[in-house]
Amino acid sequence: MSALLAAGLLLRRRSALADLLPVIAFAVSTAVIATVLGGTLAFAGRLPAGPVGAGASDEASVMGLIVMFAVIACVLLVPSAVSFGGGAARLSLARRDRDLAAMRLVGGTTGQVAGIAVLDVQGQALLGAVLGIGLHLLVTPPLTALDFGFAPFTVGELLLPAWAYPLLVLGVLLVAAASAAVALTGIVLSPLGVARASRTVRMSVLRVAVWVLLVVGLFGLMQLLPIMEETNAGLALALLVGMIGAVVAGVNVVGPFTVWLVARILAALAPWPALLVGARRLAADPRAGWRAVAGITFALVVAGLLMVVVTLGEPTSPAEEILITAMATGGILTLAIAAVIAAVSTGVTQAARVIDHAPALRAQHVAGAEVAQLHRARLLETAIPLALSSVLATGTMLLVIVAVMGGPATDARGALLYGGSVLAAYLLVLGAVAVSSPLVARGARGARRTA
Amino acid sequence: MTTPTSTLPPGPAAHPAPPLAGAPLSPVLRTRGLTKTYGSSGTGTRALDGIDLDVARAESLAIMGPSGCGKTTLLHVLAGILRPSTGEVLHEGTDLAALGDRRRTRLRRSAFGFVFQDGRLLPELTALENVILPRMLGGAARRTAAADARTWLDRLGLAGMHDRRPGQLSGGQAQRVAIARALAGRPQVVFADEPTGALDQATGRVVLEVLVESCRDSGASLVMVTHDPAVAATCARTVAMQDGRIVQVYQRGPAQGPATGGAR
Repeated sequence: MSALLAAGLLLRRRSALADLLPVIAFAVSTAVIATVLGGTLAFAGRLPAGPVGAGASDEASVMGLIVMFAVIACVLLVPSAVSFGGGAARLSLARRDRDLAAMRLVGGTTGQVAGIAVLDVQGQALLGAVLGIGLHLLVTPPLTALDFGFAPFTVGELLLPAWAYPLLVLGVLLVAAASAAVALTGIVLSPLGVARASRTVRMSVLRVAVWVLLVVGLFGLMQLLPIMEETNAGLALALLVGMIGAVVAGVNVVGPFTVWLVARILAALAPWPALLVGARRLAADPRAGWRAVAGITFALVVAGLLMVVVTLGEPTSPAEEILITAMATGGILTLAIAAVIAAVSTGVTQAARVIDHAPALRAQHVAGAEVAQLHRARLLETAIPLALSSVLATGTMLLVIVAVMGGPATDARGALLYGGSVLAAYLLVLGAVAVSSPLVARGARGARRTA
Repeated sequence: MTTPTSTLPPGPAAHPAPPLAGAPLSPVLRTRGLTKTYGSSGTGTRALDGIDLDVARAESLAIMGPSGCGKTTLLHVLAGILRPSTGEVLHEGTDLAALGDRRRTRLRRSAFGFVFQDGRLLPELTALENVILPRMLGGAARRTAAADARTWLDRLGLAGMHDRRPGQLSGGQAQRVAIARALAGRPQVVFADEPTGALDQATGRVVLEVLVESCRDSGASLVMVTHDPAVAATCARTVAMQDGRIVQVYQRGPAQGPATGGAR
């Protein structure tokens, strides 16, 4: 039967790409983690050995501060890369539905099948992690050319100690297994198919409350900081870095809630079919909708924090010059890495969503939805979280700056830079939607072949 | 607008022949010399091998046969989902085989309705939204489409379930939503592919009655693919297929003139 033929063909065709997506995601995630950790350790390695006295060099006097900023960047980037790796595990599982059901049908117990599924994810994670380390080794030599205002780093400084690499692979495998295990809960693995819990998604207001608490906590901490610095400066600093990281990460808690709320309102009022479908799909799975723009949100927050660096002004001493050069280079490097995570995660998520939606696309096309209308629905499905993301990112970034610096930066260059970043973010996501567009037409016309 | 009866007859009712039986009524769909080959022409599978078939206005037609006989391919070609390799599919004088994807898509939306085995409802949309979506795609205002859709859902026994999502409906209820969706656009032809294949026997019979009656009451032709003779018996005419050819034609009820539909 043609329908069956088509389904089989579609599956065979898509499997090559669908298999590749999680591996790419694991590889980029591993490469980012290795490179960022290696870089942070390289900064720490330049710390002067003894206490910094009055006669210390310019470099030694500011190195403590520079290392602190390196740690902040590391705290911002690594969790983002880790969660991206976890997303890759979910992606890998989503496409295994038919295989899992077939295994149950021939007599596998739920436990056995779940075990096989997790192992399957681990296989891709292992391949991705090894490729990722290769990628890390490849990009490290060019990084030595970066000017931080002091003697350039050597390749040896930027690489992790040899024993760390097996540990990193192990860590990626653990994250993949944990994400796969979490994704498997709430899924019914039956011989007749894999059913995801079809309960209506409800997003708790608790998500907003958590985030508000984090922001209030950051402001509270800033009040306490002067007192704490006198007794334990190290702890105070660690708390501040941790709190900023928590507020930035908290955007991912409040994000799905806003997507859910806005999507429900839009779906109820939608006068156009594309908006109806796009908004309903977002309301049904706001987390997935948010995931598609999470990388972007994060990059925007980083870009916003970079504004602070740009507005520092002219250096008045050689030490200050080193500090400003290091922060500018480091800031741009952080933004570049965040942009890489954003670009890859957006592209991978978009392609995965189209592959997952192929049957629905096909059904709509048969019932009379033109391919252009399907494109519009998908564009809206991304544009809604994107708009919310840029609002949330801007808000968070301003809150953090106000909390830490005591007032918003008023420099026009900073605002211009930020505006440019927002524009770049929109272009990036819309580009990812466009790149995966041929998949939509292919999914919609699945059974159509020329004789 | 004809008002369908609210009560259903006890058994599967044969669809009566069109009102102008015997008169040379122009068919709503007419095919000549259809072939469809999958894969390259030398080594490919020939799913359709010379099909001549007319579908009369408001008639009900079952396409029967073992799996692999080409019946679903024929349905897809008739509905403009697939293009035939050779031959023509005429709908009101237009050859669907010659139309591009965009125009065939518009035609499916405006003139045809679809009921598939698994419903193919969008799981994220409510029952009501699933019914209004094809109308909105066709340019109807949401409010107008919703008013019609509510009437259809109520008529098909789904009052009070308009805002449920497909996952919250039983298989039979979901299939009624699919029927409402197919008919809400006032199509000329409703295409059904094993519409009761995923349902238990009792539910399947009721859904089938609802489908046949709704099509008859709204004056739509029904073209239904099935492998089940009992399901085919609810239609006025049945064509049996084997190896891509029509091998037999059965006519129930009053004759309708010379029935076209033999193998070449």
